[in-house]
Amino acid sequence: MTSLSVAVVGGGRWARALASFLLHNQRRLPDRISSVLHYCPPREMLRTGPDDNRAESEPAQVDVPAAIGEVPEVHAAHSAQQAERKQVTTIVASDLASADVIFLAVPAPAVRKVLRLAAPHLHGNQTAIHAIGSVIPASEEFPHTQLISQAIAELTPIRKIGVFAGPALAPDLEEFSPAALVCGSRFDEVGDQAIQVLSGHSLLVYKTRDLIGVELARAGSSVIALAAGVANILDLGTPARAILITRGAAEMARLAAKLGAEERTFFGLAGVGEYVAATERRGSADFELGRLLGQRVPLSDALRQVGRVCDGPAMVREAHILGHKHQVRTSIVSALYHLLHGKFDTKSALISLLSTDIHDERQ
Amino acid sequence: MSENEPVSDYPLLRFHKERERIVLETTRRALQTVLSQNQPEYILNDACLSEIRRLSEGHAQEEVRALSEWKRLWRSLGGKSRRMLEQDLERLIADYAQDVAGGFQKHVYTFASRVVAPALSLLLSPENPLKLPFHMLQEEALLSRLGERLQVTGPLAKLRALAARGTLVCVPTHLSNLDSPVMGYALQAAGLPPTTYGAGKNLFTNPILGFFMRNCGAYRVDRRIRHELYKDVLKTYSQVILERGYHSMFFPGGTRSRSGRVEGKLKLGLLGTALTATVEGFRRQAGLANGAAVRPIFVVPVTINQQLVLEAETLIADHLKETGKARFIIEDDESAQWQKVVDFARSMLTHTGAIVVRFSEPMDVLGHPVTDTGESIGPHGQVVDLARFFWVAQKPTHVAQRDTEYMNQTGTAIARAYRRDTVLLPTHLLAHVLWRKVTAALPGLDLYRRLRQPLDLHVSDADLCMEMSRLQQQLRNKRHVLGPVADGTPEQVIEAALGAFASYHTEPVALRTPSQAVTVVDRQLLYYYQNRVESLGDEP
Repeated sequence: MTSLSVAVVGGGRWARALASFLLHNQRRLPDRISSVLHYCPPREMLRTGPDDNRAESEPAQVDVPAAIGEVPEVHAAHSAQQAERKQVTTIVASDLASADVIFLAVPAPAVRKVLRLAAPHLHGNQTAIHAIGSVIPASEEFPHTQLISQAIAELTPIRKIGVFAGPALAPDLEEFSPAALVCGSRFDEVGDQAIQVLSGHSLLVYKTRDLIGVELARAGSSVIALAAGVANILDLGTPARAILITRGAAEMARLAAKLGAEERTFFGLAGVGEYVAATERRGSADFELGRLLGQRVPLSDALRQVGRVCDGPAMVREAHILGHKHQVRTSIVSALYHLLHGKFDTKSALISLLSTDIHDERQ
Repeated sequence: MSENEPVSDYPLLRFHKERERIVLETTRRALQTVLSQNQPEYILNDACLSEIRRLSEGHAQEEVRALSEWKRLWRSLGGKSRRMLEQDLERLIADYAQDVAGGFQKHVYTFASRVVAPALSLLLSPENPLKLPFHMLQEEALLSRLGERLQVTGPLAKLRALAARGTLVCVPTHLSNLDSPVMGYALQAAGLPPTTYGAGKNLFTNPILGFFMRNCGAYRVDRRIRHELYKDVLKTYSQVILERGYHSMFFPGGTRSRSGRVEGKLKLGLLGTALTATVEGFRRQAGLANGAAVRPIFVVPVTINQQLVLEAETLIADHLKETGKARFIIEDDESAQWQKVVDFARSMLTHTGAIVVRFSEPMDVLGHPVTDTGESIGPHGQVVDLARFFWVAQKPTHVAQRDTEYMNQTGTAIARAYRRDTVLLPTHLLAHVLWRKVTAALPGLDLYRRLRQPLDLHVSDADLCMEMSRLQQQLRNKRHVLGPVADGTPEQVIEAALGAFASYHTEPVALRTPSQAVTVVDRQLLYYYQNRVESLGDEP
């Protein structure tokens, strides 16, 4: 086994938690990881964007352990001393050239900008694995909805692309509580590299070739979390959450199958596994957003109050459009869509969320 | 050498000297490959059983081993030592390698390319050759006539420069058995070197095509043999000749398109050898493997666009058969009938732009576009180092799963190039417009009923012109390529298409009626020709 140099790209909590986790692994298993690099793209890049509905929802990435490279674009501090003390090395974009594996965790609307900035420094022998729970919405620049993996292939020379999903939230990584990730990639090598650098101790890492399935399962989790937040504030109890998770997974699976994913991926760690974690109280930003929406807080106010990146609203819109396009029944997505657009009051939205006229579970 | 000169020094010229060495190297390496994957008795057992089954069912024709020999070999497997089994295996591989290796004789190639083409156009010209003025009989004049009928387009100067620097792998679309001779002509007209290519062994027994192919660099692929060992020998042979710099050609569709659609799903087995040879070259460069340097390999998608297709009637009939009854290999089609070929050639030669061969932008084995000097360009518009894509711990390495996936991606890039560079001709456009009318006249039916249901459809000239103009505009908006005449006025397109339809097929596909309207005669062929247009919308 050759030890690998890994780089984490992103300034959010998950990115930082992942970098610390990798550092911990490097100390334990120095033959697996040669160095841990951290690149935080310029703040303005993460914040702005023509179609970024979260522009005013910053300050994002506040609750961050400031130990790891707080200031972006500082300098390539590759001093031998630091390497010996095994620290996360803060790097600039051009230093990404030296990484074997690059983990990408930036907000979806910033992905294309970050990739363009990094592309000249990337090579065909590198691996890129992203953990972004969203797709890139259609915009003026790019007229079609695009998966993050497609954006990586379109904008950078990297071919070995993977995606993470699974029940491993930032606090799990920070506290070393048991968690799991699935790495989806068309290339077996990518999953092997993810296992090499991440598995062991508290984290289980699995691999699958169903890249699109893992990617869409991950993107679907923000939708399920949003719905669970609404259910939570209305105190509907555990069965309602279970219904949202399983029927949500079935709904996402039907939709994703139209795009070439394997349905079974949605009933494994990447789907149901992640949804269980994402619908928990301490879970994602989208869960919090759902709770606020359930209390009839208008969307823009709710986004401001959450103060973190919420992929839910954009994903609900995308899934709604996709369902229409491929003629897939999406009851949870449609209910959320109408809720977000103020067409439902909370109560009828919920009834619609948890009611169905289809009683065959396989449909 | 200037970019504008044709390539005159090409590797096929030395093939007859290298042939035995190539066969030996193929045998050695194929043996090594198969033995690294399996035990010799399993490999031989599999080959024997597969061949015994095939030869017991069908008639034998130019077989490497007779049925009785296979049976004898199979019965003897049990009692043999590993050493003896390996010797048996080596003999079998060597026989296959000999069978696959074709021949190339320069004087035959010269004869075929320089004499046959003008002779064809002379014999088949509508005028009586004896009445033509003398200067028209000269070779250039005749070739230029053929050149009008059969146009060759694309980035030809760039391809010539790359052919001098590296090895070309042409991957054309496949509609007809005439495609390989057409490609032979197109390469010559483009000033590109001739390529070697795998041609179905059955084609060698075709009296017409066999003559052209036997000595023009084709190697023989026996598609009837289904077992893995034979496929491994074929792949090794292809890899060996690519490593030695022989320009090659594959039809990645695998077989002629039955439906007339542009290929979307490609068979990447032989094309994969271009990738393996590339990795092998990087390994040799890095001192990780022995052998002579491998020149860079460039993949060149080509669309062969035909106004009419020689075997259209047989192919579409086969396509429309019930699932399971369709044939993988068709030997008794129009291309085996002299009269049909002559009729076809005569029809083709009377229509300007009847065949357009369009070369696409060349790419590397991973589907990246390349610069004029052959460097790969990444999606971000900058030069990338191709070798790095094959690194494992900084060393170029063969990794089967990775390379299979890479090949899928290259396959997608080729299928996209086909859609971008398909040249639409008048028959395709008229067929599409009329097919839309048929669909509108028979709504809600499945394809089979739509083809069989009685229908008396007359489309007035005015209506047809309007629809044609609309279709042309739609295709231009989507940046599809309209070929000669097809880019003209709607009236010109319709006249040209009706003329072509009336000139060759048993029944004209569509006819003009006395009442200034057009009616459809053969709906099946109409569907076949319109499929060319419709398949451009598929997302590969």
